[in-house]
Formats: sequence, structure tokens, C-alpha cells
Amino acid sequence: MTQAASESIGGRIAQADQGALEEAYRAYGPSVRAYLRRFVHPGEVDDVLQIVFLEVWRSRSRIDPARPFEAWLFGIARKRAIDALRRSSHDVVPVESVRELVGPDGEDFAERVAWSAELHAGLARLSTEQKETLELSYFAGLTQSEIADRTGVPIGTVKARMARGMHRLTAMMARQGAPL
Amino acid sequence: MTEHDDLDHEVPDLVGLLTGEVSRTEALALTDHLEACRSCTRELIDLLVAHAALRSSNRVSQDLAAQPVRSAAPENSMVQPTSESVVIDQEGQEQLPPLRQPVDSTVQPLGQLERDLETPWRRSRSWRWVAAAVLAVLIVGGAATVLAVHRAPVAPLQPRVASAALYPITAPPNASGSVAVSAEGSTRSLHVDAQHLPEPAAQGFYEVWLLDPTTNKMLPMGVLSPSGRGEYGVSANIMSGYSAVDISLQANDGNPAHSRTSVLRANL
Repeated sequence: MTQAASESIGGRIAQADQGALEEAYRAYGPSVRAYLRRFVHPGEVDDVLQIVFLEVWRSRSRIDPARPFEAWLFGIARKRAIDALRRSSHDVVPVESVRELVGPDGEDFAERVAWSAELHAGLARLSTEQKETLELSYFAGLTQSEIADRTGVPIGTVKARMARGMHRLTAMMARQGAPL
Repeated sequence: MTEHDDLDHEVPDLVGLLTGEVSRTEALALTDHLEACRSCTRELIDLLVAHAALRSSNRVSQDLAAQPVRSAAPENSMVQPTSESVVIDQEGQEQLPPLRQPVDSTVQPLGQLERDLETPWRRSRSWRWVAAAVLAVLIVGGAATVLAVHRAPVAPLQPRVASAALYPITAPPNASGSVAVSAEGSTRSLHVDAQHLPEPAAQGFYEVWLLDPTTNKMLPMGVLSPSGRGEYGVSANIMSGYSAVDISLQANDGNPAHSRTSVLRANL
């Protein structure tokens, strides 16, 4: 996602555009849900997910379009996950969950998830071939030769698709020094 | 090797270098080349950001897919929800529950809707005065029979004040259904029609709850019939404090608390 588009989502939400909120929900909802699922009881995940986006809407006046919307979104998700963890105090709460959620480790993890969400939004803007090639390489662990066999294209094409796709991703990120 | 800036040569396999798909000899040769070639160095720097993002994202995905570190499920859970309960659509994307409309949207929340329906006269005091004036004229005119004929009946409250689809939480993806709230005076009736819920274990049953997702406050409405359908009555005042309906899988162990195993939910 380009900076302009990302800013547009944050900026449009700040201007009370519900369409932008729904756009953000479609783009980032799965990532936020995956993040919450790591910490929140399954029966509460979708409720906390709704609460996160409700808070995005209610706090829209605090959106700074110059800063990454994704990082702000996952900051809210982290806080609401902590709330959910506190409510679960009568259950056994593994110490890892506290470490991964609260304090510097928790902030770092949330930032990494936010960066990942930005990357996936960027991947969605690549051509189908570039996206598929990069996903097969980095997420499925295939070599360039294996990708060539899998997709039925010459290995030179695989290399070119990867390089072009990575250049585009870098450009999306570097253009603003922050979000995709 | 002289330093050069023009890309007057074939671009070496920098992606292969990053993904570890070049031989040792090729890697050393590339290193020598990069020391002298600014174009390729810039090219590599360009690729590095995307490479780091892709690697980081892959690691995050693995972390998120690993065993959740959330609080342990209660011992009496009969269903251990897992990622298998995630609904995937035909394009392989995870289906999200519908986004709940913000309170200040054009879609009115149930509480506000109910208040409007309950107090139609309060919304327009002028209309009440007009009606009183008309009534007075009619009485003064001795038109009692006309009044009897033309007196408009009190408009009944809209019978259905809210409805929503049930979506699976830990139930199988094909489980679904609907809930509807109807009004009769200050009484609200919650109609539940759940479909494709698996038959619970011998000592299990499904229970219907009202839920306030913001505070997690819950109010038990009653056992769901094995048919999946049920109707439950509650006062309008109490109903206005809840905005979701939850169906849980309970153990017949005498514990009246929610089992924390939600199978279906609807956001009113």
C-alpha cells in the first residue's frame, strides 16, 4: 500500500469516513485478529477485534496521517489485548503471554506485526506473478529453481519477478520512510 | 578493480545472494563486484529493505501461528477452540465477522432504536399539542360519534426492533442462524434460530446469553432447545444494556456460569 493510500485511510477515518474504516478493517482485520488470537481467549477474539476498530473510530481525532496508521492500529490492539488478559486473571496466564504483550517486548512484537501487516498490504498491490513468486520464496521456502518448476516459467523470469517485486515493495516503504 | 557507476553489465544475482542461493565462489565474486560497483550496491540496498520485511513477516507469521500463549482454557471446556475454527472463504482468505457499525454512524444501536420506539410522543411535543387541540375541538363540537369513528388507533410499536445473523465462533463453519428482537410494550422477545450446530455431548447443552462486548457482561436467557430455536422474554430496560447474543456450549455440571466456550454469536 502506498504512503498516499495509507495516509488516505488514516486521513479519511480522521474525517469520519466510515468507508475508510471498513477499508482498514478489510485490509488489516485479519492481521489484527491473528495478533489477538495469540493472546486473547478464542471466545473473546472477535469481540476484542470489534472493540479495536470501534476505538479506532472513536479516537479518530488522534490519528496523525504523518505517522504509520498500522503502528497506531496495532498499538490499540495491544492495549485491548492487555485488557483482555487482565480480565482473564482468574485463569492461568503463562508468563510468556505477559512478556510478549506487556513492556518493551510487547511493543516490539506489536511493531513487528504492524510491519508485517504493512508488508502484506504492499504484497497485495504487486502483480499476481510477483506476489506469488515472493510468497513461494519467503513464506513457502522454495528455491528459485523450485519456483520455476512449480510455476512453469524460466528461472530467469523467477529472478526478474522477485527483483521487480522487491524493488516495488522497497519503494512503497522508502517513499515515506514508514508505512506501505 | 576500478569503481564505476554505470550499469553497463548484466545485473548479478543479488536476490540469490540474499536468499542464499549462490555458491561460495559466486558470493565472494559478488562481494568483490559490489565493492566497486555503485549501481549494484544501490540495487542491493534497495532489495535489502524488502528482504528484511519479508523475512520479518515470515517470522511473525510463524510466531502467530504457533501455539497461542493466551490464558489457558477453563477445565470444563468441552470444545477446545483452535485455528481450525477460523472460517476461510473460497479465495483462501480468512473471513472476518462483519464490522460493527460505530455508535455515531447512521445505523442506530439497539438501545437508541428502542428508546426512539418507546417514546414516539416525546420526540414531538408539538404533535401532542396539535392532537390535544383537535380532540378538544371535536368534543366541543359534540361530534362524539365522529370521534369514535375517526379516532386513530395508537400506532403499535414496530414489532421487530433488531435482527442479526449468527456467525460461528468455535462452531463448525457451516453453523449459522439468526436472532431477532421483537417488542410488545415494555417487553422484548428474543427469537433465536440456530442452524447446523452439532449435537452436544451427552452431558452438554447450548445456552443463550445476552452480551455486552464492551464489558463482557452477560445475562443468561435460557437453554437452547435441541431444535435450535427458542424465544426468551426480557424487559426493554435490561435489553438496552446488551448489544450481542451469544450461544455457549455448557456442561450439565450445575455450574451456572458461562463456560467460555462460545459457539455462535450475533451482533445486534
